[in-house]
Amino acid sequence: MRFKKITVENFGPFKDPTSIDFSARNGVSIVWGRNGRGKTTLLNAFNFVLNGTVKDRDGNVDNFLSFINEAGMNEGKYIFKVILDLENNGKVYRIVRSIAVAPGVDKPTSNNDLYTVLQVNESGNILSFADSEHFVKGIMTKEVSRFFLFDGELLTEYEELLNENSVRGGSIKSSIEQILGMPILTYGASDSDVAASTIATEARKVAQNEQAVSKYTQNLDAATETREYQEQELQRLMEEREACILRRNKLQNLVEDTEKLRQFSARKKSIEEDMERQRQICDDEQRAIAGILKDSWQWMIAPVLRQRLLDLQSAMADLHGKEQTSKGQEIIIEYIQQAIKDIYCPVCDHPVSPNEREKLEAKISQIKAETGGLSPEEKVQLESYRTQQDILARYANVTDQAQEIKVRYDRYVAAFVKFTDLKEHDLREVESDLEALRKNATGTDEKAAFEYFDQLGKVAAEIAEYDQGIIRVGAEIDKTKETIKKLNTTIIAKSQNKDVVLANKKVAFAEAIAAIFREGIDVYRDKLSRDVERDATEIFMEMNTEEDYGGLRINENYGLTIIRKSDGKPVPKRSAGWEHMVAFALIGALHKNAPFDGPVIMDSPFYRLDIINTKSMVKALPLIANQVLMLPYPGEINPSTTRTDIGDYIVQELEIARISSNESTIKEMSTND
Amino acid sequence: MTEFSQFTITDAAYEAATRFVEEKWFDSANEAGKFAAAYAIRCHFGEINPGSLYYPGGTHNYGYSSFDSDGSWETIIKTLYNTETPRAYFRNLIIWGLEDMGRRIQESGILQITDFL
Repeated sequence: MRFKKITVENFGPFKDPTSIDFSARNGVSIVWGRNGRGKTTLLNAFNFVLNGTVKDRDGNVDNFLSFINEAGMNEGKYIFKVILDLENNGKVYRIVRSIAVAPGVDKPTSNNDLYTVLQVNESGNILSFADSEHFVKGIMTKEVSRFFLFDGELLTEYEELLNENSVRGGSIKSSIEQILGMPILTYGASDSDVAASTIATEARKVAQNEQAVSKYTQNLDAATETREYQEQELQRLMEEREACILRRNKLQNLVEDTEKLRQFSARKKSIEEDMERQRQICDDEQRAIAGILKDSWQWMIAPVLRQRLLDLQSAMADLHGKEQTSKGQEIIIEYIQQAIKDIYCPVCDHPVSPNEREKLEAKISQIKAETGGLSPEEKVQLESYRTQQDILARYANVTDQAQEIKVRYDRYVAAFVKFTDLKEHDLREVESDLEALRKNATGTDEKAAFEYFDQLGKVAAEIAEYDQGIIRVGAEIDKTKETIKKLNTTIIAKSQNKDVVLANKKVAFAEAIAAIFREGIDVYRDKLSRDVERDATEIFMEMNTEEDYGGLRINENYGLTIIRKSDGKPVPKRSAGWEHMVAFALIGALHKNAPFDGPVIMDSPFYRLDIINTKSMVKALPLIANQVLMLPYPGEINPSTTRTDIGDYIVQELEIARISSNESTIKEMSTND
Repeated sequence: MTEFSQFTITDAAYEAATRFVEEKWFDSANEAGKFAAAYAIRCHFGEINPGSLYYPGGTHNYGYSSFDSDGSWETIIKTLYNTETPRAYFRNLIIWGLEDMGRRIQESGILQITDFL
């Protein structure tokens, strides 16, 4: 298939009919355009004319109203049109797809006020609507259009193929097998099954009237009826399972899209719980410290009181000693005075002479002079000291709790610092991440994100139940089939009717054909894998600038891994740029192996690549398809080096020029730019 | 000598006491005040003479008994400082302690309770 010309009218920024003529020569057409001029609109124009779909800047699908040119709309023109002229299998076609206003609507306000019109002209003959639809679907289905019409974003999806459990990867694998022609084999297998079943039914009808086998035909009818019922049951289970899978896929996408939202929400919850724990520690420790501080004054002054007590006790000891000495001497004086009075000394046990009396009286005077006892002031002082001692002793020995406060305060501070850190950094960061996600994922909140996750689990359980049901019914069908086979064998052996015998041979033949198709699917899939791996490696190595990268290895999903030369092992984590190049190599390989070919249209495909890889990929462009239309912006690749790199493969260079803020046109680009 | 039954504290002392209460280290200004007097004695006993301190009357008025309901402080101060005006000494110690702690909190920017033990 070759594109000859595309024309857009009142579509996006292209108000007046605007065309791109494709050269008859193989190579690369480049349409340069700054951001916002209409490059993505042109990619949408191809998607619209071939599949009837458009995708706006926000990712909304089929919002046709947003594609009507603003200036045109102001003039009351609420339609747009895309015309594609092409050649396919030696015939020329014109596909015209347009949007029209629904009858009775003056000014459309939503998509419901618009409808799509498709018309195909085949070598001068206008095809009916049904034929037009059939033709368009035949040249490029929506599923395979991803390999012909893509942008940088779409290339990133091919990374999913490396994850063999990915739902999206499985869906891409299915599209890959579609472009590679696998449906021919799968349809062949299912059509052969249908043929076998139809022929067997007809044969039974013929044998029904035959007396010799009527008993068996009745059993066969019953068995066939059972099988039909079982197959209907199987069909029901499979359809319901399929509906579940669709729901699961949608939920899987929603779960994937909201994965970060869930992660961040869970993290926020965990941070808040941690903050609450730290706050609780702070509260507990502070409460305990405050409890200790309440009467802390008592032990705080204790050391000073103890010192004061020591000083006091020392002063008291002096006064007390003086007081005790005085008391001892007073007893002695009393004894002497008694001896003088009795004129008899009880110690010496003899009478006191007048001479001795004089000596004793002198002794009394001497003792009195030496120890006079406590003065009245000293006695008051001593009494005061005793009172003070009681008071000081009451508080001086209160246990000091400063150390306990310090230990608790350290715990309080550690928890407070942790709390503040969590609040100021972790919580703020996760809240900012959540805010950014909420802005991007419009209409999705944390609650919904968790609900998707729960629903996904339930749907997965439902699918597992259906799987078990399908296995059970499948086993029952196999058993019934075996019964039918035996009955058929018996009928053939006993039937005299040639038509029945022939019909049963046809059934056996159709079943053998179906088996061959099934075997073919496995063989073809293996071959395709090998061929795609080989061709993708060839394209990849054309682009490769890394010395140690030796090629690509394919998995069951058609996912490709880069293999190192040095040790033959896969490169574990490759950059976004390399992912991009591998995806590009895969698309090139698919084009080489597909049973049909077509042009490739690429919108801003280089945005993830560095200068060296961009240059390598640009050089490889002619390898992926005969006709390539590239829609880059001038900053994405360098125009002059691109001309050098692609050289003669450039068949034309155009640019999207701005007429006004809402109007663009396409013109030839000066190669002096 | 008959001593006062009511007394006032300075604005600076009141602010410090309020901060201690606001930050939940004490339930009332009275508790903070007793802590401040104890701090002045524990950490600065030899440095300050409460008899020579002078603080003019302020607007923040308290009943003496709300600080010293059983007269323990009065007795202790009398014993420690050998004074006949222990209530005046106690007031001065409360104000000095609160103002000193308030100034230290002001300087460091944070109220670290262990600094005053």
